[in-house]
Amino acid sequence: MRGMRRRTPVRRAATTAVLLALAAAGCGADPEPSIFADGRKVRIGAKSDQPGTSHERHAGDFDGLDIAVARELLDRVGAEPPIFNGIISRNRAPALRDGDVDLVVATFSITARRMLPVKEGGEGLDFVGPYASTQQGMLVRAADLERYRTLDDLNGRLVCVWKGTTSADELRKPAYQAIRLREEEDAGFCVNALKAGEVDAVSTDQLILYGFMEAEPALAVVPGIAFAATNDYGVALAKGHREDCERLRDALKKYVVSNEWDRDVKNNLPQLPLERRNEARPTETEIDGASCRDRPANAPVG
Amino acid sequence: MEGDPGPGRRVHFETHHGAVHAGEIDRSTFTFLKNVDARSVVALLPLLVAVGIAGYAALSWPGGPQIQYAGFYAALGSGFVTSVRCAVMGPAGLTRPTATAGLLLVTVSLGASLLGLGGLEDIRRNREIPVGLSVQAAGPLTGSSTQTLVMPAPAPGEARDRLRLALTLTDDDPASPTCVHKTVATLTVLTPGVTPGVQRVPAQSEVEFDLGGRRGEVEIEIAVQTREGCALRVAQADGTLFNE
Repeated sequence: MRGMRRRTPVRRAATTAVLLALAAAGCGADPEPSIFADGRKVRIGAKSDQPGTSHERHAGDFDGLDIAVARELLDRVGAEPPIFNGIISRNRAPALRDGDVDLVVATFSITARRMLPVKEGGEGLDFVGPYASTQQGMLVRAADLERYRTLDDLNGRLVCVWKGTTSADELRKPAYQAIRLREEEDAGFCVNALKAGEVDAVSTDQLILYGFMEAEPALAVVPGIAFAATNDYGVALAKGHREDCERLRDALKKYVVSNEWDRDVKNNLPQLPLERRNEARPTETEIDGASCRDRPANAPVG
Repeated sequence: MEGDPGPGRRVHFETHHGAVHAGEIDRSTFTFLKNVDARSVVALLPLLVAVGIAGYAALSWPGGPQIQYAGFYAALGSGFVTSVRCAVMGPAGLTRPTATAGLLLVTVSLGASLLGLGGLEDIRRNREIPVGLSVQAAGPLTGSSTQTLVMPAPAPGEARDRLRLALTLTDDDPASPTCVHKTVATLTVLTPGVTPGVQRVPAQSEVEFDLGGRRGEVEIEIAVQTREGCALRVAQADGTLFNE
């Protein structure tokens, strides 16, 4: 007993030292502050020239499916109403990494490279998604719609795409070498070129194209042309906010099975056929497989 | 006092380990150990054996993961340490009154080294053999195409009972929309006798096959069930041959 009594102060001192060291380590770790901290306005990068999905009608006044999704998710995690800033496709990842915006909700496709950490050769983004899924399509002048039934009908035609998108990458593949490409900075340039007769078609995701179709009655989506891998749109944030990411993911899983998701899609993309809307709705398993990860998860094997 | 205690007589030796009754020690052993040269040989024998086994192991190292050599290292290390103790003890350690303890140390040392040798031979027969599987196909894996993984026939002495396959499928183009989390692969064995014949696995998986005594090449067809427009590729197909 005497020996034990003699050791007790030593043990106490050692325990205190360990606890102090742990506390110091904890203080020194300086964890990333939450994006949703009280009183903090979340800054969101959104497209400004895609009616139906993400559009800036007047300065600072955004609407579209992306905007509705962002507002709904932030409301569900109890964050303050966000501030939207216009962003072009190729600036989406740099703006997040540089801290210019907190989130990007801009028809941003989830890819393996984008979700891989920068030190592993990726773009260092976490995604919350998909919140909508869509294949690639073609937008043409309504007057020319009868000319196009399949992708082969575009052979030899001039198709406009914009830089920094998976749609542009897809059409550069050898399988589509018969299609001539014109690359623009963003959607608005391509749509104006189509209306002006400078190009024969605009190609990007069908959800985006149906938004243009609603805004521009002279243009129409070719119903029979849906090609390439399905684009899954995700809310992107720079890595380092995993807890915030998981809160958004949990909110999204509840949102996509709710009537609010249907309401938001119908309100913003009224021309989208029901079949395409059903294809656009993600499952909770898909959200778990792609959200808040450095690489996609395994699919469940049934 | 040295000398033959005579047949049937119990002997009482005082050693630094305490009193030892050594009536069971064979008379001939003590007769043999009367010779100082013989005692020197016996004291050095464990070290010679340990060094010999270490040299043999180095010259004929089977290779493979180090973890499987843990038992070998432990046994030969023990044998080596005790053999050094035997060598330091020298012929004096095998002289009464410490002869029994000395002999015991020699026996333990030899036993440990030989145990290590046995372990090494067991690893040689059963060690895991890494084997690369080649992919025979052109173009990416899509919902409408298949590829064949080919495991070459193992070298003589490297055939095993089972194959463990570590498989990783990734997006063919990492810049295109990811399909990995929507993809399930079906592995169908094309080589007769290898089981199970069909397995469904996710994009990143580890599966085992019973080779059924087969010693030659093994072919496994891989098909994917994924979404339209998705293209994947086999990023990793590493095999390991092993016995159960």
